[in-house]
Amino acid sequence: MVAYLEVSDLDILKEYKKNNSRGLELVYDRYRKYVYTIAFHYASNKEDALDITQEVFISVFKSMGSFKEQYSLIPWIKKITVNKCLNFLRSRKVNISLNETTESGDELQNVFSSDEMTESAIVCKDTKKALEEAIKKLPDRERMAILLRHMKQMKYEEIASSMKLPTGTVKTLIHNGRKSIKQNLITQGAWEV
Amino acid sequence: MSCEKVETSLLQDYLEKTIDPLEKIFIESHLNTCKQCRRELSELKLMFWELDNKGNYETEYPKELDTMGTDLIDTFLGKKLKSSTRKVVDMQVNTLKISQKFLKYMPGAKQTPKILKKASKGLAKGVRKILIAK
Repeated sequence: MVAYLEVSDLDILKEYKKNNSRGLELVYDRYRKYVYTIAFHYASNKEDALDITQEVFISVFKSMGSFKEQYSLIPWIKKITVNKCLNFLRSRKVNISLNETTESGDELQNVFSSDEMTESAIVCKDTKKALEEAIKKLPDRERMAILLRHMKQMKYEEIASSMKLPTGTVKTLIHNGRKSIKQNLITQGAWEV
Repeated sequence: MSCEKVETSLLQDYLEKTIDPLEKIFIESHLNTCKQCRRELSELKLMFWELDNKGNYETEYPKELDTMGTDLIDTFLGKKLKSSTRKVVDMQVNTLKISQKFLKYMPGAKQTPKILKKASKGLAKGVRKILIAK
């Protein structure tokens, strides 16, 4: 109990062999915030983030038994989290095209650019909100790559292995993501004094 | 927007220090003369600062995150238990199947499917008649 906060992955795995339920508790306690943080910033709402967290831990629990003691758990949990996030929204996101028309026959892009919308958008929000908005608007894979790079400060190679993509692709995703974020921050007036 | 000579991604590499040394020399001398790129670079710097600012990712952890762990573990371990009872059931089903095999060798066993077919045809006719009558 004394070293509760400093339990290592090895301790967790050893404990798991002795007592399954205690071992799972330790994994959950150690990594729940880590997983939730990524899920939350990726999905940008609490409910989806909790769902993703659940899915991640069910996967983790399932393969705890086959996990080898010499490895650390974190890269593996990271991979599962990334994977669950990308598959989560992919399965339930409804794509809306700006050329679609509403029931009254207006094209969506005209609705969005009408005066009411722009006026409320011009009101300067604080940058944290603005950044959240900008990140939220990115395509799934760009969003994930940007979050891993900047929120988690991961290296390109690490991101590539977590996302199962070539490093070059990750670089392109991040570069494009940043371009859109910058553009979005400017239109939101985040840096205007 | 940066100018035509320089891609934004090159400026990003420059800021991240992942740029190739030759390109770095080129960029630095170019920045001396190009106002557009200097502006782009300062915008990028601002954005990098925002992106790397940990405060921007502060997350509120909902109560559910703490409470759902035990439930998750319980249901998970529960399922595992169920799956071992499942194994017993499967074994029993298997034993039944094997013990049924000898039925094939009972006298008259070959006729059974035919008789069953006839019976079911008769049954279908009967049902149809009843349905029509209704």
